[in-house]
This record gives sequence, C-alpha cells and structure tokens, in this order.
Amino acid sequence: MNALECRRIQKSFGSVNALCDASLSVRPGEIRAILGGNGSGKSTLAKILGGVVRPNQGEIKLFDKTCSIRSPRHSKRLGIVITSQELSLFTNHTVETNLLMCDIPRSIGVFTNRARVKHVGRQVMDELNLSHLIGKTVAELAANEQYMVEFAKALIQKPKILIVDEITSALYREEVELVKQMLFRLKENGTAVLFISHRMAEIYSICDSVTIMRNGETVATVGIQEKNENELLSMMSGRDVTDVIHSHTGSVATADGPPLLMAPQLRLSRFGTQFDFRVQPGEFVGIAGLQGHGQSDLVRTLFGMRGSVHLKLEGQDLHVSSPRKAVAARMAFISGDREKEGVFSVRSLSENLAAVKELVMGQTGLAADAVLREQGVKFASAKQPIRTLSGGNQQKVVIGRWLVTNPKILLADDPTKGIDVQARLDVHHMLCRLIEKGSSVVFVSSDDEELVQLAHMAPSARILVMYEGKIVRVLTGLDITTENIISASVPRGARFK
Amino acid sequence: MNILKWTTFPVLVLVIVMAVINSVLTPGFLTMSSLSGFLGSYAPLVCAAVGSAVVLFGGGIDISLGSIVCLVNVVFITMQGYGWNVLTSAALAVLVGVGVGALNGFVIGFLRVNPLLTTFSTSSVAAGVALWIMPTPGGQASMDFVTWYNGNWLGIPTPVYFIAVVWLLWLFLSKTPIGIWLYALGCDERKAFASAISVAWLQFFTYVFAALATGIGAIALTGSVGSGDPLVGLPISLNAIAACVIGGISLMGGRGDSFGAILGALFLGLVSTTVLAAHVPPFYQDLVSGVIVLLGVIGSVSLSRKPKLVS
Repeated sequence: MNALECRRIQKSFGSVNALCDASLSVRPGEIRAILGGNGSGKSTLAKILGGVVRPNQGEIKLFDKTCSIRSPRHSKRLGIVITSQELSLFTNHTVETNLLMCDIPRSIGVFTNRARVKHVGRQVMDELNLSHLIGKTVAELAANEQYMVEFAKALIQKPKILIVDEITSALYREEVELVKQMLFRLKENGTAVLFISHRMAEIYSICDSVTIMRNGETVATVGIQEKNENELLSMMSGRDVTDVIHSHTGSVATADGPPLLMAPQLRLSRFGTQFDFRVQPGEFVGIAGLQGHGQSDLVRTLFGMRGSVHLKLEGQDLHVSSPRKAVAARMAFISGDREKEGVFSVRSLSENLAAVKELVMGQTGLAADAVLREQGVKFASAKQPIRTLSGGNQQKVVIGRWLVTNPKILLADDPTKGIDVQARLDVHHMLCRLIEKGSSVVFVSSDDEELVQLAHMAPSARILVMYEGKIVRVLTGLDITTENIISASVPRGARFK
Repeated sequence: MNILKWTTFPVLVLVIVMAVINSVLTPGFLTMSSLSGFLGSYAPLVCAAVGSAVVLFGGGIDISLGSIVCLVNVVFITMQGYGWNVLTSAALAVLVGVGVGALNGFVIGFLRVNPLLTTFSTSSVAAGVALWIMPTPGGQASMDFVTWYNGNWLGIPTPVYFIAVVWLLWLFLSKTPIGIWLYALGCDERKAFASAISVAWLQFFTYVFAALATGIGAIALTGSVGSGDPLVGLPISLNAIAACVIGGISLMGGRGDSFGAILGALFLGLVSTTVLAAHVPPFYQDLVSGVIVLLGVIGSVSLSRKPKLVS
C-alpha cells in the first residue's frame, strides 16, 4: 500500500508550465527527499497536496483511494500537513495559539479552552526543548525559533503525510538534529514524509529515498544509498556539475591601492561595536560568521538603513542617511528576504526590474525583455506578475533591478537563501560579471562554502568573519577555506572578550 | 502585562484628560444626570465603534455603518407610525440593518470584492432606501420609549444597557475560536486560508456583527432624538472608524481590542462636549474639534508601537 501516490500531475499558470508530468509514490513510514532546482515544480506539487493550488490534470491517491483535494481544509482532513518556508504562523498570536490554530480545543463545545491550548502547546514544545517560548507572540521570536514553532505546529496535527518544505535552511545544527529525531519518530508511526531541502548532508542523514525533479517533471526516484552527491546534482541540473563547483581553485589575490569605499569607525548600533571597514575597487568581500553576529547589520548600516552613517566613496565624503542617498551614490542592496524586501509581488517583471532605475534614479529606456533574458530568467512575458515566477527566478529579477543601475558597490545580505543550486550558480555568475566590470561586492552568506566558491571566482577577495558585532578574522588568499571560516566563527575561550 | 504595550492605554489617558478638562469647564459634568445625558448622546457611536472594531480586527473596513443607522432609524419610526409596538418595530428595524450587513458580508466574503468599494456602494443604497422610506425628517417615537431611554433603569442609565449588550455579545464571541480566527485573518488572509480557516464565512460574520451592533446603536439614537431623520446617522460612518483608530485598533487588521473602540468613541464625544462647553463660536467648532482629534490620533499612535521605516 502507498500512503501517497501522484500520477501524471499537470499544472500551468497562464502559459508557464509549473508541473507537466509529476508522478511519485511514497509508502507509509518512508522519508522521501524531493530534490530539484527552482522552477522544477517542487513547491507547486507541495501546494497541490496542501489544497492551495488545484492541478489541471492527474490523479492523487491517498492510501489507495483516489482523492481530489478541494481546499486546505479538505487537505488537512485527509491528514496532509505542510510546514513551509513561507511560514503559516500569525505574528500577532502567541506561540501556543499558533500551534493549535488548526484544531482549537473547546470547553463545553463553545469557548476556547485556553488552559488546554497552553497545556498541549507546552507538551510539544517540551519535546523540542523550546517550552520557554510558550506565552510569547510569534513576532517576538527569532527566525530560527519561528521555524521550529512552524515544525511543532505540524507535529501537533498528527499528520499521516507530512511535507517539510525547506524549513531546515533557517535552523541551527542542533535544531536540525531535533527535527531529524522527530521525523524518525513519525516514521515509526507510519507517517509518510516528503522532505524538500537543498542541503545534501541532511538529505543523506534523514531520507530513505530521493525523487529528483527538473522542469516540472519527476525525473527519477532512487534509494539514497544508490547515488552520491555529484550524481544527484547532475541528475537535477541535467548536466555534469562536478567541474562547475570546483573549477576555480587558483590562488586569490588581495587588491592594493586607494580604496573604493571607506567607513571609518563604522558603528553597529545593535552591538555597540566600532571598527574601520574598507572595500577595494573590483573586490569581493565575503562576510561570514554564525547567524546573527552582525553580518546583516554591517551591510544594512552601510546602506543607510540603520540611520545616518559617514562614508568615503572614491575619496569623497558622503553622508548616507537613507537608502535613497545610498542609491544616489550608486550603491545597491539585495536582501535575502524576497517577500518583504525584494519583490513587489503583484507588479510585473518589467516594473520590478525598473523600480530603482526609473522610479528612483529617473532614467528611462530599459529594455526589460533583453535584460531578463541576459539574467537567465525563465519567463513568458515581461508583463506577467512577478509572483508567478519561482523563488530563484524572482531573485534573479531583483538582482537584475540593481545591476541595471550600474552600481559601484553592491551589498548583498544572504541573497541566495532558499534558492537552489542552479539558480545560485546563475546568481554567482551575475555577480562575477559585475566584479569584472570593476564594481565591488560585499556579500553576506550563511553558507560558508558559498563564500569560498565566490572568493575563488573573483579576481581579488577577502573574507571577514564576524562574532558579536566585531570582525574577528580577515582571511585572504589561500587561507580562504571553509575550515578557517568555521574555526574563526566559533571562538574559543576569552580570545575575543 | 506591560501597560505601555497595551494598545488601549493611550486612549485611556486621553479620555481621562478630556474628562478632567470637561469637569473644569462645566462644573457638575461628573454628576450622574450630566453623565447620563452624555451617554445618551454617544451610546449609538459607541455601539457602531464596537461593530467597526470587529470588522477592522479581521482586516476589513466598513464605511456603511452611518447609513445603516439612518435606515434602522427611519424603519423603526415608520413601523411605530403604523401602530406596531416598540419591541417588534425595533426588532424588525435591526433586522433590516443586519440585512445590509449580510449583503456587505456576502459581496466581500464570497464574491471577493474590495471592502472599501463594497461598503461605499451599499452605504449609498442604504441611505437611498432610508430617503425613499422617509423623504423628510418627521415621525415620533413612542414617548414611553424616549422617557425610558433618557432615564434610569434598575438604577443605571438606560444607554449603558445598549453599550453593554453589544459589548458583552462581542466578548462572548471573542472567547470562542472565532476570536482567534479573526485576529489570524486580520494578520494574514492567505495564511488564514491555508490554515483551514473559513475566510469567507468569517468575513461574512464580521460585517453582519457590525450591522447588528450598529442597528442596536440606531435604536439608542432614536431614543435620544425621539424622531426619524434619513440623514441622522451619516457622520457615524467615519466617526466609528476614527474611534477605533484612536482606541489603538490597527487599520491593517489583527491588532487592538474592543474596549479601545469604546473609549475612542467616548473620547470623540468628550471632544464635542468640550468644544460646546468652551463656547467656541459655531463656525469654528468643527475646526477646533478636528484639531483636537488629530492631536489625539497622533498621541495615541505615537504612544503605541508603530511600524518604523528605519529599523
């Protein structure tokens, strides 16, 4: 018996085929990884199972019974639960209310039973070592805590089929370990799990099998032991990726001469720390460290998002008091939070592309189609709303928006968060072309490997490692390795106090 | 609970300040009979504000409440003119008002039309029907009813009962899961849908509740003015929303509580009373009260946490 069987599912949005032939079957107690690039249809498949999107064609069977999932409510009744990176939490409600949102316990059949909400919520949070969050509103939680609450909310619903859509990318290692234990417990109880992730290590340690998707099709399903990492990546992108990732291993130079940007005594207000910061022309500056140690604050402060800041750009004094001033000085900023700080979701691709160049800088005459093609965006028409694109393609449009302004310096705050290997490589190539033109890039990433790859692609590069709002280590040349970044990120003893 | 985080705290301060100013300008303002008269005049606004608050919690907006007041008022008076008793005509009039709310709720919840547009249109429809039923002010409410409304009942000013009925009805509903779902809906409609909440029915409910609360308020208003007038309630449309905003309820949905709406409505009442008591010439009354309300809104919003552009 299969817990879930999808046969030849097809879905198109307008003229874009999101899914053209998706078929898979999962047994009870199986943890199945879904691996695919952006636009490969993973999210659409998850949304169809969740009842948010209706397929055009195809058959879905749950425990050997054919179902057509009509709505999220129907999907939940069938025992399907989704935890997604677009969190389903309500920021104005408390953690425990959110946990029980889908099945609120009542007293005498009418009133909300607050005591029971708290009790059941605490039980689940105890298992995840998070009972101290009970009573707080979700708005007060850090990102990783919100993701754990999202996961706990799924557990509480006792799913028969659980879809985990990329929540692990925002979690710390210990939390991923907890998620893994919980998934194993569900597995013992016969729950079928679809695990969508880009992290190979997690897939290998958690999943039993893997289904690879490409361009809206399920390409293959294999046991997890049957293929190694490079083989999976090759199947996913449809070409051999081993040489792409490791091709630039030459030595890395550091640039001398007058700096492009100087920030004397740059102050990070959240940490109360101060340091000098400089960027050379044509340089790649990677900012590394554990999450939340001031990397994001650094680039946001430079872009005038934390109040007024004094900079020297090409030797000229510059007061940046708002992002508008920063744009006027030909600086650019890309956020990893597409939803909040990147896309104007209901506007078209061309409007999204022109947002800064036309509306802020007042320059017209942007050939949207040509730019979109050049950035490798998969699209039907420049007039389609940007939300019809996959996450990776949306981010390419956002990056394109800034590239057309010819920035002297591009600040990026984890811009490839949650996008797949292929789109990530495309983004890296876009940035490299910018550096080749003489611009500089300051790049924050939570993925150390990504920083190392980028550093080796750029003609000159430095990696700054941050801890508690300070730069604790500068890596150059052959010292730029993931091992060095990790060892500098986790300080020992009182070295930095 | 941190009192400064309580969204109702700023308006509580405002109401106290205005009450003090009033009792200085009009010695004897805080006597029972004066307060009773004040409540008699502003109970209709308080009821409508609670209704408006419930719509705002769910992320909607209703600008038809003033027209609903007009409609309920003229239906109530007309029925009495035909010789129906007070209770039956009041019930029928409120039911007509609820009908407008159900229309709002159906169009917004099920046909997915923008709430501002919908309630703007139904507001014209309701006001038009009111004018059709009663082209010029007139009619007479039963004297027994008017005397009862403007007096005390069981030792408490009668208008308080109108406010209490509406508020307790909401407090009852807010203790059911509807309370939780409504704030969830106001926070994020798409997430609410994906969380298996019946978004359309919930929206339908908020507009029906707002119309019911406003209808009860319109009966109170009829007790206060004693006759029918097809234009009598129009200012309530925006005053009810203003009362909510002053009361710390977010126009974006999902934030605030109904007690804030009540205090916000009382604040607006106190401002009008103050302007009258201070003998401001009639030509400048709107200007003066407008400036005070603006300062009140600014004060209320800046005391509570607000979305900042620089984070």
